Amino acid sequence: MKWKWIALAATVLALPAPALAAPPSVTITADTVLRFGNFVVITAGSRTISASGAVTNSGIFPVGSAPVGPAQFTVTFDRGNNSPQAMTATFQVVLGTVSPVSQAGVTGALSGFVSDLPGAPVLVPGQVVTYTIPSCATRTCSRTFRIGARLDVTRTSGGAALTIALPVTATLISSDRL
Amino acid sequence: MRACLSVAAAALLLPLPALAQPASANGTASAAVVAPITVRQIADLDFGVIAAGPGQAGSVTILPGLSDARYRGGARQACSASNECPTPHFASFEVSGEASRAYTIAAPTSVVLGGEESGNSGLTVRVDAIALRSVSRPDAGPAGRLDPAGRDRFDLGGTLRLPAETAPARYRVSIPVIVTYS
Repeated sequence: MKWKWIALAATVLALPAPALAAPPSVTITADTVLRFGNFVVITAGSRTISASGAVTNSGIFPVGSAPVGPAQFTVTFDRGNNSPQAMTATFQVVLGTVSPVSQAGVTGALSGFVSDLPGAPVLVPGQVVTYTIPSCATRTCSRTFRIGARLDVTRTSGGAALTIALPVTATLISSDRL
Repeated sequence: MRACLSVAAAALLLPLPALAQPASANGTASAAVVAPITVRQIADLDFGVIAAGPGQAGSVTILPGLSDARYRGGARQACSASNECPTPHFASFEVSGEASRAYTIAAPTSVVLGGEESGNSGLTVRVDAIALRSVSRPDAGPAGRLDPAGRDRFDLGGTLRLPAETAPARYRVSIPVIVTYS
Protein backbone atom coordinates (compact mmCIF):
# COMPACT_ATOMS: atom_id res chain seq x y z
CA MET A 1 0.00 0.00 0.00
CA LYS A 2 2.75 2.36 0.90
CA TRP A 3 4.56 1.66 -2.32
CA LYS A 4 1.38 2.25 -4.28
CA TRP A 5 1.02 5.78 -2.96
CA ILE A 6 4.58 6.55 -3.65
CA ALA A 7 4.27 5.29 -7.21
CA LEU A 8 1.22 7.44 -7.82
CA ALA A 9 2.94 10.49 -6.43
CA ALA A 10 5.95 9.88 -8.57
CA THR A 11 3.71 9.66 -11.63
CA VAL A 12 2.04 12.96 -10.87
CA LEU A 13 5.29 14.75 -10.31
CA ALA A 14 6.87 13.30 -13.42
CA LEU A 15 4.15 14.51 -15.77
CA PRO A 16 5.09 17.56 -17.77
CA ALA A 17 3.54 20.66 -16.30
CA PRO A 18 0.56 21.84 -18.37
CA ALA A 19 0.72 25.34 -19.78
CA LEU A 20 -0.83 27.47 -17.09
CA ALA A 21 -3.44 30.04 -18.16
CA ALA A 22 -2.50 33.63 -17.47
CA PRO A 23 -4.45 35.32 -14.72
CA PRO A 24 -7.30 37.58 -15.81
CA SER A 25 -6.17 41.12 -16.33
CA VAL A 26 -7.39 44.51 -17.44
CA THR A 27 -5.76 47.21 -19.50
CA ILE A 28 -6.93 50.72 -20.32
CA THR A 29 -5.88 52.90 -23.22
CA ALA A 30 -6.44 56.57 -23.90
CA ASP A 31 -7.77 56.60 -27.46
CA THR A 32 -8.74 60.21 -28.00
CA VAL A 33 -7.73 63.50 -26.45
CA LEU A 34 -10.39 65.67 -24.83
CA ARG A 35 -10.31 68.37 -27.48
CA PHE A 36 -11.47 71.90 -26.71
CA GLY A 37 -10.31 73.31 -30.04
CA ASN A 38 -9.04 76.80 -30.78
CA PHE A 39 -10.65 79.91 -29.39
CA VAL A 40 -10.06 83.48 -28.34
CA VAL A 41 -10.60 84.59 -24.77
CA ILE A 42 -10.44 88.25 -23.89
CA THR A 43 -10.04 87.87 -20.12
CA ALA A 44 -12.06 84.85 -19.01
CA GLY A 45 -14.36 82.27 -20.51
CA SER A 46 -15.23 78.63 -20.60
CA ARG A 47 -16.00 75.86 -23.02
CA THR A 48 -17.85 72.70 -22.04
CA ILE A 49 -17.66 69.44 -23.97
CA SER A 50 -20.25 66.84 -23.04
CA ALA A 51 -19.63 63.11 -23.17
CA SER A 52 -21.57 63.02 -26.42
CA GLY A 53 -19.57 65.89 -27.91
CA ALA A 54 -22.02 68.74 -27.43
CA VAL A 55 -20.26 72.10 -27.07
CA THR A 56 -21.29 75.04 -24.89
CA ASN A 57 -19.34 78.31 -24.97
CA SER A 58 -19.30 81.18 -22.53
CA GLY A 59 -17.14 84.23 -23.10
CA ILE A 60 -15.05 82.66 -25.83
CA PHE A 61 -14.84 83.12 -29.58
CA PRO A 62 -14.17 79.96 -31.57
CA VAL A 63 -11.42 80.19 -34.19
CA GLY A 64 -11.08 77.93 -37.20
CA SER A 65 -12.43 74.43 -37.48
CA ALA A 66 -10.16 72.41 -35.22
CA PRO A 67 -11.86 69.21 -34.05
CA VAL A 68 -13.66 69.32 -30.72
CA GLY A 69 -14.83 66.33 -28.72
CA PRO A 70 -14.70 64.22 -25.57
CA ALA A 71 -11.84 62.03 -24.46
CA GLN A 72 -12.24 58.35 -25.20
CA PHE A 73 -10.82 55.45 -23.25
CA THR A 74 -11.02 51.71 -23.88
CA VAL A 75 -10.94 49.13 -21.12
CA THR A 76 -9.91 45.65 -22.26
CA PHE A 77 -10.50 42.55 -20.15
CA ASP A 78 -8.19 39.62 -20.89
CA ARG A 79 -9.59 36.48 -19.30
CA GLY A 80 -6.23 34.79 -19.60
CA ASN A 81 -7.41 31.73 -21.56
CA ASN A 82 -9.37 30.80 -24.62
CA SER A 83 -12.20 29.02 -22.87
CA PRO A 84 -15.53 29.56 -24.62
CA GLN A 85 -17.32 29.83 -21.30
CA ALA A 86 -18.79 33.29 -20.86
CA MET A 87 -17.53 35.44 -18.02
CA THR A 88 -18.54 38.66 -16.41
CA ALA A 89 -15.73 41.04 -15.57
CA THR A 90 -16.23 43.79 -13.05
CA PHE A 91 -13.71 46.52 -12.57
CA GLN A 92 -13.40 49.94 -11.06
CA VAL A 93 -12.62 53.09 -12.98
CA VAL A 94 -11.16 56.10 -11.21
CA LEU A 95 -10.42 59.51 -12.65
CA GLY A 96 -7.30 60.80 -10.95
CA THR A 97 -6.51 64.28 -9.77
CA VAL A 98 -6.65 66.83 -12.56
CA SER A 99 -4.53 69.89 -11.92
CA PRO A 100 -4.90 73.30 -13.57
CA VAL A 101 -2.15 74.49 -15.86
CA SER A 102 -0.68 77.91 -16.52
CA GLN A 103 1.32 78.91 -19.53
CA ALA A 104 2.44 82.38 -20.45
CA GLY A 105 -0.48 84.58 -19.49
CA VAL A 106 -3.10 81.86 -19.75
CA THR A 107 -4.51 79.54 -17.07
CA GLY A 108 -6.80 76.59 -17.75
CA ALA A 109 -8.67 74.43 -15.25
CA LEU A 110 -10.92 71.45 -15.83
CA SER A 111 -14.04 70.76 -13.79
CA GLY A 112 -17.53 69.34 -14.20
CA PHE A 113 -16.40 65.98 -15.56
CA VAL A 114 -19.07 63.90 -17.23
CA SER A 115 -19.00 60.46 -18.78
CA ASP A 116 -21.12 57.95 -20.60
CA LEU A 117 -20.15 55.24 -18.14
CA PRO A 118 -23.36 53.49 -17.08
CA GLY A 119 -24.52 54.99 -13.80
CA ALA A 120 -21.85 57.68 -13.73
CA PRO A 121 -23.00 60.66 -15.80
CA VAL A 122 -21.03 62.89 -13.44
CA LEU A 123 -17.45 62.05 -12.54
CA VAL A 124 -15.57 63.41 -9.57
CA PRO A 125 -11.81 62.90 -9.44
CA GLY A 126 -11.10 60.12 -6.97
CA GLN A 127 -14.61 58.73 -7.21
CA VAL A 128 -14.76 54.96 -7.84
CA VAL A 129 -17.05 53.90 -10.64
CA THR A 130 -17.85 50.21 -10.95
CA TYR A 131 -18.11 49.01 -14.50
CA THR A 132 -19.07 45.56 -15.79
CA ILE A 133 -18.37 43.75 -19.02
CA PRO A 134 -21.05 41.08 -19.15
CA SER A 135 -20.96 37.82 -21.09
CA CYS A 136 -17.39 37.92 -22.29
CA ALA A 137 -17.00 34.73 -24.29
CA THR A 138 -13.74 35.50 -26.04
CA ARG A 139 -10.18 35.81 -24.83
CA THR A 140 -10.45 39.59 -24.65
CA CYS A 141 -13.45 41.89 -24.40
CA SER A 142 -13.36 45.67 -24.65
CA ARG A 143 -15.62 48.52 -23.74
CA THR A 144 -15.20 52.14 -24.67
CA PHE A 145 -16.31 55.16 -22.71
CA ARG A 146 -16.02 58.90 -23.11
CA ILE A 147 -15.28 61.74 -20.71
CA GLY A 148 -16.20 65.38 -21.16
CA ALA A 149 -15.48 68.39 -18.98
CA ARG A 150 -15.66 72.12 -18.62
CA LEU A 151 -12.51 74.14 -19.29
CA ASP A 152 -12.29 77.52 -17.61
CA VAL A 153 -9.70 79.83 -19.07
CA THR A 154 -8.39 83.11 -17.74
CA ARG A 155 -6.04 85.23 -19.79
CA THR A 156 -3.90 88.18 -18.87
CA SER A 157 -1.80 88.31 -22.05
CA GLY A 158 -1.00 86.50 -25.26
CA GLY A 159 -2.17 83.02 -26.11
CA ALA A 160 -1.11 79.49 -25.22
CA ALA A 161 -1.50 75.85 -26.14
CA LEU A 162 -2.85 74.20 -23.01
CA THR A 163 -2.34 70.52 -22.25
CA ILE A 164 -3.88 69.05 -19.13
CA ALA A 165 -3.27 65.48 -17.95
CA LEU A 166 -6.36 63.33 -17.52
CA PRO A 167 -5.24 60.18 -15.65
CA VAL A 168 -7.65 57.26 -15.52
CA THR A 169 -7.10 53.97 -13.68
CA ALA A 170 -8.99 50.70 -14.13
CA THR A 171 -8.74 47.84 -11.63
CA LEU A 172 -10.22 44.37 -12.14
CA ILE A 173 -12.11 43.40 -9.02
CA SER A 174 -13.82 40.18 -10.16
CA SER A 175 -14.20 37.86 -13.10
CA ASP A 176 -16.94 35.30 -12.71
CA ARG A 177 -18.05 32.45 -14.93
CA LEU A 178 -21.67 32.61 -15.94
CA MET B 1 5.82 10.99 3.06
CA ARG B 2 2.05 10.72 2.79
CA ALA B 3 1.66 14.15 4.37
CA CYS B 4 4.02 15.67 1.84
CA LEU B 5 2.14 14.13 -1.06
CA SER B 6 -1.18 15.44 0.22
CA VAL B 7 0.16 18.97 0.36
CA ALA B 8 1.43 18.69 -3.19
CA ALA B 9 -1.92 17.44 -4.46
CA ALA B 10 -3.82 20.19 -2.66
CA ALA B 11 -1.60 22.86 -4.14
CA LEU B 12 -2.23 21.65 -7.66
CA LEU B 13 -6.01 21.75 -7.21
CA LEU B 14 -6.28 25.31 -5.90
CA PRO B 15 -7.69 27.82 -8.45
CA LEU B 16 -5.48 30.65 -9.53
CA PRO B 17 -6.42 33.89 -7.81
CA ALA B 18 -7.54 36.71 -10.05
CA LEU B 19 -4.88 39.39 -9.92
CA ALA B 20 -6.22 42.87 -9.16
CA GLN B 21 -3.43 44.73 -10.89
CA PRO B 22 -4.60 48.25 -11.69
CA ALA B 23 -4.05 49.59 -15.17
CA SER B 24 -3.59 53.26 -15.92
CA ALA B 25 -3.93 55.47 -18.96
CA ASN B 26 -2.75 59.03 -19.20
CA GLY B 27 -5.40 60.84 -21.14
CA THR B 28 -5.00 64.44 -22.16
CA ALA B 29 -7.16 67.49 -22.56
CA SER B 30 -6.00 70.14 -25.00
CA ALA B 31 -6.98 73.64 -26.02
CA ALA B 32 -5.36 76.39 -28.02
CA VAL B 33 -6.13 79.77 -26.51
CA VAL B 34 -5.54 82.33 -29.18
CA ALA B 35 -4.58 85.89 -28.39
CA PRO B 36 -7.30 88.32 -29.47
CA ILE B 37 -6.79 90.03 -32.78
CA THR B 38 -6.86 93.82 -32.79
CA VAL B 39 -6.87 96.46 -35.49
CA ARG B 40 -5.72 100.06 -35.15
CA GLN B 41 -6.06 102.84 -37.66
CA ILE B 42 -2.77 104.51 -38.51
CA ALA B 43 -3.80 106.65 -41.51
CA ASP B 44 -7.03 107.96 -43.06
CA LEU B 45 -8.16 107.46 -46.61
CA ASP B 46 -7.78 111.00 -47.90
CA PHE B 47 -8.68 112.10 -51.44
CA GLY B 48 -7.14 115.50 -50.86
CA VAL B 49 -8.59 118.70 -52.28
CA ILE B 50 -10.31 118.24 -55.62
CA ALA B 51 -11.42 120.71 -58.19
CA ALA B 52 -14.40 119.59 -60.21
CA GLY B 53 -14.91 120.94 -63.67
CA PRO B 54 -18.21 122.72 -64.31
CA GLY B 55 -20.93 120.46 -65.63
CA GLN B 56 -18.69 117.46 -65.77
CA ALA B 57 -18.65 114.40 -63.55
CA GLY B 58 -15.37 112.90 -62.43
CA SER B 59 -13.70 110.48 -60.12
CA VAL B 60 -10.60 110.04 -58.03
CA THR B 61 -9.17 106.60 -57.41
CA ILE B 62 -6.69 105.72 -54.72
CA LEU B 63 -5.52 102.14 -54.78
CA PRO B 64 -4.35 100.52 -51.55
CA GLY B 65 -0.58 100.50 -51.36
CA LEU B 66 -0.08 102.95 -54.24
CA SER B 67 0.72 106.56 -53.51
CA ASP B 68 -0.57 108.12 -56.70
CA ALA B 69 -4.18 109.23 -57.05
CA ARG B 70 -5.80 108.77 -60.46
CA TYR B 71 -8.10 111.56 -61.65
CA ARG B 72 -10.75 111.00 -64.28
CA GLY B 73 -13.33 113.17 -66.03
CA GLY B 74 -13.77 116.61 -64.56
CA ALA B 75 -11.86 115.85 -61.36
CA ARG B 76 -8.36 117.12 -60.83
CA GLN B 77 -6.10 117.92 -57.94
CA ALA B 78 -6.75 121.45 -56.74
CA CYS B 79 -3.22 122.17 -55.58
CA SER B 80 -0.02 121.72 -57.46
CA ALA B 81 2.27 121.72 -54.46
CA SER B 82 1.79 119.21 -51.71
CA ASN B 83 2.44 121.80 -49.02
CA GLU B 84 -0.67 123.68 -50.09
CA CYS B 85 -3.08 120.73 -49.84
CA PRO B 86 -3.14 117.41 -48.05
CA THR B 87 -1.50 114.70 -50.11
CA PRO B 88 -4.02 112.09 -51.21
CA HIS B 89 -3.30 108.69 -49.65
CA PHE B 90 -4.86 105.38 -48.83
CA ALA B 91 -5.93 104.36 -45.33
CA SER B 92 -3.69 102.07 -43.31
CA PHE B 93 -4.45 99.80 -40.40
CA GLU B 94 -2.17 97.85 -38.13
CA VAL B 95 -3.27 94.36 -37.11
CA SER B 96 -1.85 92.48 -34.14
CA GLY B 97 -2.62 89.11 -32.62
CA GLU B 98 -1.40 85.53 -32.57
CA ALA B 99 1.84 84.98 -34.48
CA SER B 100 1.54 83.43 -37.93
CA ARG B 101 -2.24 83.23 -37.88
CA ALA B 102 -4.24 84.11 -40.95
CA TYR B 103 -7.01 86.68 -40.75
CA THR B 104 -9.68 88.16 -42.94
CA ILE B 105 -10.85 91.73 -43.25
CA ALA B 106 -14.42 92.86 -43.67
CA ALA B 107 -15.22 96.34 -44.97
CA PRO B 108 -18.07 97.84 -46.95
CA THR B 109 -17.64 97.93 -50.70
CA SER B 110 -19.07 101.43 -50.88
CA VAL B 111 -19.94 104.28 -48.54
CA VAL B 112 -21.73 107.60 -48.83
CA LEU B 113 -19.96 110.70 -47.61
CA GLY B 114 -21.87 113.60 -46.18
CA GLY B 115 -20.91 117.17 -46.92
CA GLU B 116 -19.85 119.55 -44.14
CA GLU B 117 -19.20 123.27 -43.90
CA SER B 118 -21.37 123.97 -46.88
CA GLY B 119 -24.34 125.49 -45.16
CA ASN B 120 -26.47 123.11 -47.13
CA SER B 121 -27.85 119.84 -45.90
CA GLY B 122 -28.20 116.62 -47.83
CA LEU B 123 -25.01 116.94 -49.83
CA THR B 124 -23.46 113.60 -50.52
CA VAL B 125 -20.84 111.95 -52.66
CA ARG B 126 -20.02 108.31 -52.93
CA VAL B 127 -16.91 106.18 -52.56
CA ASP B 128 -17.14 102.77 -54.13
CA ALA B 129 -14.79 100.05 -55.32
CA ILE B 130 -13.32 99.99 -51.83
CA ALA B 131 -10.32 97.68 -52.01
CA LEU B 132 -8.11 96.08 -49.40
CA ARG B 133 -4.51 94.93 -49.60
CA SER B 134 -2.47 93.44 -46.80
CA VAL B 135 1.29 93.70 -46.65
CA SER B 136 1.65 90.00 -45.90
CA ARG B 137 -0.60 88.76 -48.70
CA PRO B 138 -0.94 91.59 -51.20
CA ASP B 139 -2.70 89.45 -53.78
CA ALA B 140 -5.15 87.78 -51.42
CA GLY B 141 -7.70 90.59 -51.27
CA PRO B 142 -9.27 91.06 -47.86
CA ALA B 143 -6.94 88.65 -46.08
CA GLY B 144 -3.55 88.56 -44.45
CA ARG B 145 -1.29 86.59 -42.19
CA LEU B 146 0.34 87.88 -39.04
CA ASP B 147 4.12 87.72 -38.99
CA PRO B 148 6.14 85.78 -36.37
CA ALA B 149 5.84 88.81 -34.11
CA GLY B 150 2.05 88.76 -34.51
CA ARG B 151 1.81 91.90 -36.64
CA ASP B 152 0.68 92.94 -40.09
CA ARG B 153 -0.69 95.96 -41.89
CA PHE B 154 -3.33 96.43 -44.52
CA ASP B 155 -4.28 99.37 -46.69
CA LEU B 156 -7.66 100.49 -47.91
CA GLY B 157 -8.44 102.50 -51.02
CA GLY B 158 -11.43 103.33 -53.19
CA THR B 159 -12.89 105.50 -55.89
CA LEU B 160 -14.56 108.82 -55.09
CA ARG B 161 -17.39 109.60 -57.51
CA LEU B 162 -18.06 113.27 -58.14
CA PRO B 163 -21.29 114.00 -59.97
CA ALA B 164 -21.48 117.06 -62.15
CA GLU B 165 -22.16 120.17 -60.13
CA THR B 166 -20.93 118.64 -56.90
CA ALA B 167 -21.32 121.29 -54.23
CA PRO B 168 -18.12 122.55 -52.65
CA ALA B 169 -17.84 121.04 -49.17
CA ARG B 170 -15.71 118.90 -46.96
CA TYR B 171 -17.05 115.39 -47.32
CA ARG B 172 -16.28 112.70 -44.82
CA VAL B 173 -17.50 109.42 -43.41
CA SER B 174 -16.25 106.68 -41.09
CA ILE B 175 -15.53 103.36 -42.73
CA PRO B 176 -15.85 100.40 -40.38
CA VAL B 177 -13.36 97.57 -40.77
CA ILE B 178 -13.50 94.27 -38.93
CA VAL B 179 -10.69 91.72 -38.72
CA THR B 180 -11.21 88.14 -37.66
CA TYR B 181 -9.03 85.09 -37.58
CA SER B 182 -9.57 82.81 -40.54
